[in-house]
Amino acid sequence: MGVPISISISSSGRNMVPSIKPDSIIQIHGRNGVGKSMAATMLEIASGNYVFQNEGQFNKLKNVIDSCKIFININEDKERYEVKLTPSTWKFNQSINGVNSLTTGNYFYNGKEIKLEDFKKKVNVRVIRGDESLSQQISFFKDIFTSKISQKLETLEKSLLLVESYKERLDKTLNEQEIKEYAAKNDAYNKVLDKNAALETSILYREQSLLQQRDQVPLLKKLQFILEQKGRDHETEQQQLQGQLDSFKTKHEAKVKEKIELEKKQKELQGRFDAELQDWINKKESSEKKREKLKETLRALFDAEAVEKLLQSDDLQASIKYNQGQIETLENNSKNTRRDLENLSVKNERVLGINGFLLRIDEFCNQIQGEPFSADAFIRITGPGGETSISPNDLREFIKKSKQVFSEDKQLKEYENKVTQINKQLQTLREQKDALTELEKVQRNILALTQKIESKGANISEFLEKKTTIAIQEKLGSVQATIDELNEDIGSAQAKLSDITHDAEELAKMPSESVIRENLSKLGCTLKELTLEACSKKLVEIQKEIGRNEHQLEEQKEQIGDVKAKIKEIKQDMDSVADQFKNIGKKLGFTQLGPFMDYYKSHIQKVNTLLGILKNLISKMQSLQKDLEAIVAGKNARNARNGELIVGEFDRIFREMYGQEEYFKYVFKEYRSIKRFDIKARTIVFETKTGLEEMRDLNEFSSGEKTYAYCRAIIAMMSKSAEYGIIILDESYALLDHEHSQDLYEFQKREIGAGGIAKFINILPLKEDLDQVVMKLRADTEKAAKLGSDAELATLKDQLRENEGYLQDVQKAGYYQRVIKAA
Amino acid sequence: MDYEKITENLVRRAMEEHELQEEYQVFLDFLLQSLDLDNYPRDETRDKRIREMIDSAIKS
Repeated sequence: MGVPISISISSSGRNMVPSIKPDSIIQIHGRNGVGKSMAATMLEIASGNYVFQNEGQFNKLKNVIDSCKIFININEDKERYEVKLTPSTWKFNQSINGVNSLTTGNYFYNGKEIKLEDFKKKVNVRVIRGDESLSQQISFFKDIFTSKISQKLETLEKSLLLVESYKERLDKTLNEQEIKEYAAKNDAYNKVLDKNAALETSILYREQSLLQQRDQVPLLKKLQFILEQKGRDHETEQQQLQGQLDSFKTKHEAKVKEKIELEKKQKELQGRFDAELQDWINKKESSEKKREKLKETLRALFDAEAVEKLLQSDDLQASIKYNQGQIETLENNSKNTRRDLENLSVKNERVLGINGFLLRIDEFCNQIQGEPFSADAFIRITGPGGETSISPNDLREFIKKSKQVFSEDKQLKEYENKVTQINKQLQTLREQKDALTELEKVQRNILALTQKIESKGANISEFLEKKTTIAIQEKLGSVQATIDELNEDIGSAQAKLSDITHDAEELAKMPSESVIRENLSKLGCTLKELTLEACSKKLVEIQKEIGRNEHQLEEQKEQIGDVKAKIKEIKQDMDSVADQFKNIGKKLGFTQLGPFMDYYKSHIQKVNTLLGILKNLISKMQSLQKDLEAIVAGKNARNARNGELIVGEFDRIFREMYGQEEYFKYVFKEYRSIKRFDIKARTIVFETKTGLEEMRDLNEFSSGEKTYAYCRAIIAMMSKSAEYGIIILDESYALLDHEHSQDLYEFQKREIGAGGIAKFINILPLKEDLDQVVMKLRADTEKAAKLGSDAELATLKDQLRENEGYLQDVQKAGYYQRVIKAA
Repeated sequence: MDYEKITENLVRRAMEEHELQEEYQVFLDFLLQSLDLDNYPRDETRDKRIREMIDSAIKS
């Protein structure tokens, strides 16, 4: 016998078996409704193992149980566990279809409160129900897997949500794009800084090289000079050149004197020519002034356009002729007009005389008009035609009419005006003619003078004797050419003399060849051989190198200017956002921008990585869950890897569970071993005793076999799962035959003996009629007392006593407990 | 039988099959650290804690 464990339950709301004996293997035979299964359920809930069919079943149970206290006493009160279940506070855990472990109730060990986990490590109760089988076990596993994966998915999704919302807040503070842009600017900034440093180094190096090379040049030149001067006799060369120079100077002096004489003579002739020329020039200038005045006069006489045309014309004579024609025409007009005017004047004087006479008669008539005789008096008029009389009034009327007839001729006035106008035109034309004539004369004069002045060269021969002139000119030219040549010779000789003198002086001042070569060597310049050719070649090389270096230096200095401008530009650009970034950095505990940006960039990458991981895991976990359900439903997995894994895992679990020897003794009797378990087909592939492979569907086994296998599997699963493992077999024997039942009890005994399970409680329905049993035992006992042996009587008495006790228990509580001896 | 352990074993092996074992471990580390997150108020202090958790879970 193992450690004695007694259990008592105190509850309200539903009937429950109130106490269970401490023995290791117990049978509880009870009537329906006494609370055997309910007690088992409460014990399983207390251990956190009960799986509800659904939430509805959970709620139903929660609402019918008011209270439930469980007391487990181990090893005669040495260890006392108390569980106070609190159904009113229970919460349903969907992921496991069970009670949320935090709400199950309160746990105590020897009066001190403990956690469920601690209780479960000590006491673990599992109920095997008679209606459970292998198929249900598969579904059970599937549900467990699915719910556990759901739990993980839920946790993953919560984590994803947490990180996503964190990322959103990060982006609001400083987003990835801003970081990238700043990093790009920073990279660009570092690059230009590097470029600047490289350029500065190169410039420095080049400047130092140039200094050395520039120092090499004068040394090489000196060496070249020394090598050039080798073998020359400066003194002799100087003396020879001095002699040549003196000779040139003497010749030069003579030629200069000759030139002066020639020039003097030429000047004298030139003076005469110049006086005549000056007179012509003066006259020409005077004529030109006069011409300008005449032009002004003409401008006053002609309209502006006409005069400009006239002045631009070469043929003034034609203009003068045309002008003369106009004058003549006008003079003829004037003559005719004057004649007409004279005729009119005569006629007009006669009219004026008649009118004067008529005026006097009119005045007379007017004077007599007031006289007494005027009314009937007649005036007698004697004329060439005879004599006539007329009244004063009639006479006045006649005079009035006559005046109209003898009025002054209007044409007379017009003719006068015409004459005046012609005269005016004539005057203008004559003035024009005079001015044009004068202008033509002046022009002609100017032309003549100009021709004279211009032909001065040609005319000079008229003043000079031709031969003399030519001779002087030629001589002067020849002398001047000689002087020029001598000047060149003197210059050349002087230069050569100066050069030789200079060379001699310089040579005297020069350091030795060896000193120069040593100095060159110190400057990094060596000559392979000491020849003029080698030295000159080296000099050319160095000068070319200097040229190249100077050119490159100039380019690099331009480049560094651009680079520095770029540095400034990028820095300004970076500075514009740096303050904002610094403030964010400060909040994160960074005092410097650089480390902060490095950290922040890296951190954002980590956030993205984590988001990627979570999303990927969710996707794969969902795929695993779907494939699990598909496989248990007999379908193919979408993901082949998942499929293989799930099939393999079920194979492993079931082979481990059903591979034990006892199964082959009582269930899989005709087989040697399980080769594999095919979850999809729900079949087991066995190896027969002859070594063949044989496939069997789970449903092909009998109900009893399946129940037996299931019970054994669960017991095996529970073995050593806790210090005190308690298994309750709730009506598991209904489908088992005697042999399997006995084997199951034997198995229980072995587990108790091995210490894997601490207590088995076998729940059975009360099937026998105890009254009849007791009555029969009493009859048998009485009979044995009369006829039987003592041993038989003693056994029958024990049986009677035991069954009477059972009967009393049943009568009292509706159930009785039978102890199965473990050993 | 420890169903938790069996399930965990199944999930781990599935992640290994998909070559995600390291990522799964990162998630478990992150999850472990996030257990005390509810103790932080919903402000910058909490974000600081999340930042530390991420920095710790994802190695450079």
